[in-house]
Amino acid sequence: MIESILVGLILIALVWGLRHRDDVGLRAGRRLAALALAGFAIVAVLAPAFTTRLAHLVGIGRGTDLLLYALVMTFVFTTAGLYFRCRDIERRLVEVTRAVAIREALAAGGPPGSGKPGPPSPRRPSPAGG
Amino acid sequence: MDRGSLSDTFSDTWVVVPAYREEPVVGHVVAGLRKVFDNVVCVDDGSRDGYAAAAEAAGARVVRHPVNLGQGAALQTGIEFALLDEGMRYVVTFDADGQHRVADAVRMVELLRTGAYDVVLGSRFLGDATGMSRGRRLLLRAAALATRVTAGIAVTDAHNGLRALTREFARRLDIAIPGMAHASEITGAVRRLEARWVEVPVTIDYTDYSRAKGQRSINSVNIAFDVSVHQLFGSRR
Repeated sequence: MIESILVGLILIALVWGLRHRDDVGLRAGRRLAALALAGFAIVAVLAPAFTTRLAHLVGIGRGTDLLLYALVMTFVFTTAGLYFRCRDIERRLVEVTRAVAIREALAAGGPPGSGKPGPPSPRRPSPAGG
Repeated sequence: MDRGSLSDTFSDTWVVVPAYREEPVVGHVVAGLRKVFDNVVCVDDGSRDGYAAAAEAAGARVVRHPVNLGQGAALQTGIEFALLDEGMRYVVTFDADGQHRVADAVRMVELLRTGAYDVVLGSRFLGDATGMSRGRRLLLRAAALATRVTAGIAVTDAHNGLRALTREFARRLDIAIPGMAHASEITGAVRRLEARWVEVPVTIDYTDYSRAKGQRSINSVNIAFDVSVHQLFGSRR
């Protein structure tokens, strides 16, 4: 029961976090969380007993399991974050490439539709109000 | 009918041919189109072969992406180029691998000319698909069903590259996913813009060349993923 609630919350956090991925506070939060995880990892190495006590507090058997959960969550969020960052960059690359391509085509051959032989044909009105 | 009168009729139409490494056939495809259509724009999606020269020699305008972006991006580039022609009323999208027939494109534009539709989609399932494998047929049927469910548009063939659009629809389309998901984006736009659409039977000629160039069926997984992500999260400019 508690597991399904937790998993649901994780998924909601993931979707919400990615939808608001440009939010400055959220970005800062992610970075703080990453720092906290690093600190936690150091503690886990130096004092394994402490992480086990912490794990028991939240109902997990071993400290290493707690660390594992934290790592998995970090991995998921990081991967998803990077994926979306790549997507946003790709989108910008598309815009730039398109602008360059069209500009070069115009420079090489003039505007489209010009320089065609013969008079333009009579146009019918556009259905969509074009 | 002589060629002159045909050309006059279609001077308000641009045919957009997106292509990536299609040099062996693109000259032939463009030459076929140019018998009817004055305005053909080939979008060379970063090929390093003789594609641009072959297309130009056959009488097309060529827009070259300096880097490869994907077919969706190439289509959008071609459409934006065509929109620069203020006399343009209709846009046809036409695959570069020679699987479509020019006569089908002509019929589709004529249908737009009646003013009854904003979008005309080609369907190989209403028409003929020569040489299509059984597995491909099943997959495309499934894709059409998925489009029915997600876009609420009852198409029989969701992923046909032959389409005709009015200027107004083309202007508002904005294909955002660079890859192969443009078919889903177009049906999505049909619903979003409440466009009047119709499917017409078209013939697809599957050749060894088009089969080798075509997408692998497993790419449908990528398309479904891209479309879902796009719908869920949008994208930034």
